[in-house]
Amino acid sequence: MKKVRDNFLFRMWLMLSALIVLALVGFIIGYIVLNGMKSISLDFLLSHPKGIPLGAEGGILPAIVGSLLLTLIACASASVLALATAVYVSFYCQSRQLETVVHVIVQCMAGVPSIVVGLFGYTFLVAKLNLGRSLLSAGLTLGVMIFPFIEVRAEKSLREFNRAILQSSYALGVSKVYTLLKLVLPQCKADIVAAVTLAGGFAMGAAAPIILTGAVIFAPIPRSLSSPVMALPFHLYILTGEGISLEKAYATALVLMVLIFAINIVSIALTFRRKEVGR
Amino acid sequence: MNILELISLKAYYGNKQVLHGIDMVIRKNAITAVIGPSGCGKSTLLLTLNRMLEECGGRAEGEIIFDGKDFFAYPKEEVRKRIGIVFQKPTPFPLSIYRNLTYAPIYYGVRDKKRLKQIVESKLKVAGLYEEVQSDLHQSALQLSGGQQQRLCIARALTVEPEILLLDEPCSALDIKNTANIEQMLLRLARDYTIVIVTHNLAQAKRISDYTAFLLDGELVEYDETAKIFSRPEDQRTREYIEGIYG
Ligand SMILES: Nc1ncnc2c1ncn2[C@@H]1O[C@H](COP(=O)(O)OP(=O)(O)OP(=O)(O)O)[C@@H](O)[C@H]1O
Ligand SMILES: [Mg+2]
Repeated sequence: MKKVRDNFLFRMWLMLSALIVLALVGFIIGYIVLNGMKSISLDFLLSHPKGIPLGAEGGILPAIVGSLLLTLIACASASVLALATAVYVSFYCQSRQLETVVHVIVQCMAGVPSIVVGLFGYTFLVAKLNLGRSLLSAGLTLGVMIFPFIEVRAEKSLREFNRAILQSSYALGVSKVYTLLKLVLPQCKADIVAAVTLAGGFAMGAAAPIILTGAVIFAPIPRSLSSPVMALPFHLYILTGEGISLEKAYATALVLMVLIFAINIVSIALTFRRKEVGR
Repeated sequence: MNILELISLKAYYGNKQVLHGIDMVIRKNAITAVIGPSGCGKSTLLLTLNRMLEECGGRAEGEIIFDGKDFFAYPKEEVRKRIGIVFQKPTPFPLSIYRNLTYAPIYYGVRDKKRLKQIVESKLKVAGLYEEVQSDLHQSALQLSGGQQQRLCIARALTVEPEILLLDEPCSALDIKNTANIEQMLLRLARDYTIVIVTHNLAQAKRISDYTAFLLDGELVEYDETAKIFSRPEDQRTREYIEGIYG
């Protein structure tokens, strides 16, 4: 009898947990959608902030464009570095110690709080390299933040590649580079792209790293890499923090959420497609 | 004529010595069979001969003379191109049949589409796979059966025109008909290539090889013409191995 009871309790616990989580998520999403829908319009999406104080009227076009640009720069810079690191560690590195050191560094980077990453970006990129508070500085700082996530996934995917097939390729006298480009990367591409998009969603939602490095209140659409930039999470932070307009804040939150959802869905679809192909 | 001459060849994995000083010559345009019980170092010997041992975590010592020159002085890519290997387990690339076979030629600079197509068809024919797959060369190689995959791997090894072909139990996953096909193919290939084949099938060694080497615990016990090994082996251990399997 005890067994039956334990079983029942265990299942109750699982069900309740699932219900609570679903209810919470549903509540948050529903709340934002309901409140945000009221002020969403094409005009809101496509016009600049207006009114007094600025942002009380008008739209969020600069923030949308800014967020997309920041995400793009972050993904581009982080994926180049992460892929290179992953390829080096899994294909070229001969020394176990060096491999461990790289892994520890990557793990530590993943654990650094985003505001600290922001401070690093400020001291190193903005001040030391004199890039100023700009789209470039903020994008690169976000890149530093998502680098470890992409590296870990890319490396895992590369390591999963069948060793016997690699050896058959080397056995033909073919170089490592050719093997990587023609055999390994095409296989791991979907995985890596999925990792990059997922990390992109993470970068898009982050406010802390960009506050000090590039986000300037109600900056217009950036004209160059060295212009300051507005981003959705920062816009949201200003609207609520300064008590400018709660309504607009809900709408902004909704737009940000939809964008991140869209990115995640793309990423899931890519992972799923890989599974299909892999069978 | 000798194409390879092994002089006191030793192989290690870490501290473990697997080959204990092999002296042996491989004759050009002949089929040499390597027989011996499981774990005696047959695969290790083949890996050494196309410089793949170090890729598999091992290391070789001793001397090999390849085509009159020091084997270990060649760039390893060149050795691997000139001495092809087919592994025990089939390892088709996760690409189409066609791309499996053009993979290496493209690397070596063949760009002409017609020439590539010709390579694919001729090597598939040599490996006896053409008839079965000609209707769809662009299907994934992973969809082939085990035996077909093994023949594809043989065809792939031939696409770089090696001088020596090393085969590690190429027939262990094949039925009698496929085995007979491969044996026919090897006999044909022996006119242009030098073949070293590891096999557990003594009847097969007897059918196709010109020379047979008997390996035991990393030592070359006996190496002679196949007819002699199977009719009048000199070493007691060779006789026991051959009779043990037959009896
Ligand atoms: N990568 C490796 N690392 C360490 N030891 C190895 C490795 N590969 C093989 N060995 C060892 O080397 C010895 C010889 O192995 P090898 O694969 O050459 O035998 P084999 O004659 O091909 O056997 P089989 O007929 O079963 O294929 C074995 O004792 C094996 O345990
Ligand atoms: Mg073996």
